[in-house]
Order: sequence, then C-alpha cells, then structure tokens
Amino acid sequence: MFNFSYKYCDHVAYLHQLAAFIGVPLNENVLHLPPEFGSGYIKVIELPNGLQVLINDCVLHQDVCIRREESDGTEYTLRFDEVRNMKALTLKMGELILEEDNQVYSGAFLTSSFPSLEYTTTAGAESRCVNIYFTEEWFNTHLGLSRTDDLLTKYLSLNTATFNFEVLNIEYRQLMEEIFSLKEGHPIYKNVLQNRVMLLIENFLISLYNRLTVSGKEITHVENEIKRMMQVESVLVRNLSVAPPAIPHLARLSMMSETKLKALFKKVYHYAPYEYYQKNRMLKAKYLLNTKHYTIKEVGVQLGFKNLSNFTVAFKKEFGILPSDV
Amino acid sequence: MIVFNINHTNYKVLLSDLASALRIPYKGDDYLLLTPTAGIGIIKVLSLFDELQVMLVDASFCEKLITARSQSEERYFILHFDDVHITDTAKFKVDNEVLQKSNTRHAVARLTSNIFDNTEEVPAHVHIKSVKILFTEHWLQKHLGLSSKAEVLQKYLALKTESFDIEKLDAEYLKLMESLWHVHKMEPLHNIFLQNRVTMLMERFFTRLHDKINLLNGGFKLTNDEVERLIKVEQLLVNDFSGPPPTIDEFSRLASMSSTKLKKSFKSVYGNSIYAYYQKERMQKARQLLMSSKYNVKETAAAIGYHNSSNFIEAFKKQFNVSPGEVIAS
Repeated sequence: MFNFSYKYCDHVAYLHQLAAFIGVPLNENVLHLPPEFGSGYIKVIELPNGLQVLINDCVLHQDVCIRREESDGTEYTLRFDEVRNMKALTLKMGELILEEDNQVYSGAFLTSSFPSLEYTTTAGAESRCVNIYFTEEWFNTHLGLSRTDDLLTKYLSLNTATFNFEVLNIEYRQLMEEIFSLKEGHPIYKNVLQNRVMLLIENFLISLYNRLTVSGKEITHVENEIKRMMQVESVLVRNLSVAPPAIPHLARLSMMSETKLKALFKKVYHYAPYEYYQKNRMLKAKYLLNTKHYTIKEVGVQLGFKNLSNFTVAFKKEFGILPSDV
Repeated sequence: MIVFNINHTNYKVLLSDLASALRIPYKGDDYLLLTPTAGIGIIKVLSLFDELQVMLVDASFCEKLITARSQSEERYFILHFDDVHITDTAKFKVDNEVLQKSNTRHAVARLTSNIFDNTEEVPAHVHIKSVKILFTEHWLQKHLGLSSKAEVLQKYLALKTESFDIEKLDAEYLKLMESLWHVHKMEPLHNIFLQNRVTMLMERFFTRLHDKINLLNGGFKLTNDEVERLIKVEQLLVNDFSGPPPTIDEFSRLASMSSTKLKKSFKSVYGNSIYAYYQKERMQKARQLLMSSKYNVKETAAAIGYHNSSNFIEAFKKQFNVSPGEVIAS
C-alpha cells in the first residue's frame, strides 16, 4: 500500500514532494512511475496564463492512498478524473465521501485548500486525470468574475455528493482526449493545451452556474442513480465499432425501467443514449481524421460503418462539414 | 468615400474615432450603432483579460470606407476574419489585392502587422461580418512561444505574399465567429466564454499556418541571418521596375548563397519563385499607376519596363482578369 500525505501547495511543489517520496528524479516536471509503483507518467505544465495543470496517465501496481491535509489559503483545484478497472475507489473531501465500486469512475469536482482530501484506490486501476490548480486571485483577474467567491463558496458549502461530483459528459471527455493525445512537439503546444484547459473550466463553471441558479428543480435523482448512469455511459461508449448495447440491456444493467433509464440518462448527459453514442462516434471519427493517419474509408470502417456514404452523411449532420474537409 | 486612418492599438479609442469619422454619436459604450446616414449595423468591442483587443463588425456602410493603417514603432499584429458578401457592383479590396469575383461570398482569415502599411476598402452597401483580433508581439511570444524577434519575423514574413496569409474560413471558423455574437446570457461567465472562443480562433489559424509553413519549407530550415539576406534580395528585386531586374547570379552573390539555394529559400519565404514574385509585384505597381489616373496604358507600360504595350496588356490581364483600360475607366 502506497501511502502519501502532503500539505496543500501548488502542483509543481506537489510533484517535487511526490518524486522525493517515491525516490525518483524529476525531469522537467515529468515523473515516470517506477515499476514497483506503476507504469505511466505524472507531469505538471505551467501555462502562459499562470495556470498549473497536472496530467497523469498511469496504471497503478499498488493500492494507493493520497491524503492532503486541510489548511488555510484560497487556492483551488479543479479535478477531472477517469479511473477504470479498479476494485474500489474512495474520495473523501472533508466530511463528504464518495465511494465507487463500479470499476469505473469518471467525474469532475472542485476542491479548495480548506477541507482535507483523501483519494484511495486499488492496484490495477488505470487512471487518467487533469487537475487544474489556481488561486482565488487568478480566478478573479482571469475570469473577471466579480461574484466568484459567491459561486465557488456556494459550491463548496453544498455538502451533497450528488451535487459536488459532476459526471464527465461527452464535452469533457472530448477535451480530455484532446489533451492526452496532444503531442509535445506541437508548434503551439502550450497554447493548445491552455485552450483545452480553459474550455474545461468554462464547461464546469457554466454547468455549475446552471445548477446553482435552477437548484431545487435539478437535484432530484439520488446519488446511487448517478453512479449507475456512469456505468451505463461507460458500457455505451466502450466500443464504438460495434452496434451499441440495446436499451433493455442497459436498463437491466442499471436496474431501472427503460423509460426511467432514458429520462435519467438524458438529464445527466444531456442527450438520449443513442444520440450520445452517435455523438461520441462522430467525435472519434473527427479525432481520427485529424491525426491524418487514416483515410476516410478506414475511419468509417473503424467506427463500424459498413456503408461509407452513411458515414459521410452522419458526419456532415454532426459537424456541418464533410469528412474530406477535415 | 470616407478615408479613415488608423494607428490605434486600443479598439475603444478606434470606435470613438470611427464614430466621428462617420459623423455619428458615440456614447462611450462597448458598441457603436450605425445610424441610417452612415449605414446599418453594429460594431462592437470586447473587453477580455488577456492583452487581446477584439472588435466585431456586422454592418454595411452607405459610403465606401477606406481604412489605412500605417507602419509604426510599436509592433503588433492583427488577425482578421472577414465574411463579406460581394455583389456585382462591389469589389472588396485588401492591400493591393482586389477580389474580382462578383456575387460571391468572400470568407477568409488573414494576418497583418504594422510591419507593412495596409489598407482595406469596404465598398458601399456591402454586408461585412468580421472579427478582428489585435495582439502585441509580446503576446505572440508569450502564448505561441516565438521567442526571438528574428524568429517571429522569419515565420511571419511569409505572410506578405498572398498565397500564404489568406486562409479560407470553413464551417468551424464561421461557427466560432458566430458564437461571439450569441453570448450566453449568464452574466458572470460570458467573459470566459468569449475569451475561449477568441483564443480558439487564433489557435486554429496559427496551427494551420504552421502546417502550411512546414509544407512549404519541406523541412528546409533557414537561419535568421539567411532570412535577413533574403529580405535584401527582395528589396532590390522590387526596387525599380523600369529596367530589367538583376540576374539570379547577381542576387546569389548578394545573398552569399548558391543560386540553387537562393531560389529554393526565396520561394520558401515569399511563396513564389524570384521572377514570378517580380512579375506579380510589377503588375501591382502598374495597377497603382493606372488607378492614380495620371498615366495612360502606354505610359504605364513604359514605366514598368515594357517596350511593347500589347505584351503589357496581356500580362496584366493574366494577373487581374481585366485589361488596363478597364482599370482606368473604373
């Protein structure tokens, strides 16, 4: 069991402490996990606009518990995590506890330096995350939000797991995918990364703002049901080259009636299940075409289109341009 | 016709000066509404937090509007995204390039800087929708990691040629542009929304520009010193059109490069081979002379070194699709 505990600090300082604890050297703020701990990397990038982003893409070889002590200060971290193949995962934020035993957790949440934070998961977990570190001052100057503290403190004082943990929907997923597939050799690497990070923040804040202003109406589904939606979502988009699982199958999986499943899915992910599947598929197509490694035909086949013109039509419908214009 | 000279780096000041040039009232807001005497539409300035100045235009003017930006000490860049509907009677002119096609939609992005003078002509009653983003050299260095002045110069010099700096606006660009007009009403968050759309526009432009530069260079790198020498070659080449241009051999001595290397690197920086570039600039010069209405076709031909007017007329038609006579007539 890997047990690491630290005081709240910025990401660069955190990475240095972590590297010292594990006993590996840091190379330009990149930490490569040694085999006894896991495989993959954790890196911190300082963006031109003053944000620090911690990105990790790794598989754990040990159970892990990372604990941050509570402290004063007005610093925040916005976390986007996608964890797969774990036996269990626990997130404790102050009094708030989120336990996940679905083998998959994908969610976004904001923490401040005030409450302690504990993150526990099991060996074998595949973790990809984007953590964005900022201070209150940054928030006020860069987003020009006069009422920020309102928004942030309101959020942080709402002690319900359903409200605080937001599922990663298709927009977040896509942005994360773009971040992970971004090559460091890209001519304007930091700019592209910064734009994706800012879009993550934007999505989070807009969704937060919406939920805060229409609260009451929104938060009716119980925590447990949201977890089940996450599971449904992960099954739905697991393999985009075969037909999606049938609704009855998804309903059984989530232990809900088909009607309830469809309604709840739409509420949580903003699209009907098949619509969501199709959107993911088209985003994947666009991504593959953008890599320039595949022809249109190859991409169509990879995404399970038997008929290329169906693919072209679907693509045009989604993005307003033809695959050949990408 | 209204001529408006710009040397502004602050779009709000520009808005106020434009209002007085158009003789319409301006109350100091972030936007300027055109009154019927000046035209229809709105010009808007966005205040962002990132040293970027952004102006949105959605308007048509009653009179031809010529904006001229002259060179100045402080270096800055402007990224233009223009979506213009050109009708039969109207021609849209940017610098020396005239977009000749009629009844067409002209939707392009281009980068200009105050390294060069540039003028823009918006004809009367043409509907223009644009987004203009002004940023400093400092911004370019900080955000796009172009660290030395010479490097910036080297990369963007190529922009001077037409083939390079004009990028067609596809659906993605137009969507981003459009989104700047339809801001979410959620007050505290509209700023981040706008800023992100603006930086996405820039990212897309610069990423594609970079791809184009790579394509053109074909992995062929020039030192800053070599670029400086090419600039000298270019200056000499377009300095005087009345006689034959210096030969490649003379240029290669001047640039201290082999003639093969000179030809290849000139093309990579300016987008055209040396003589094609010479010829293009020469015709531009001819066009300027003709438009000044001081010279007839024969005099113009002589001024740019044609002994035979019909050769000149043919060359002119080849580049502009109109004859020199028609230019004088218009």
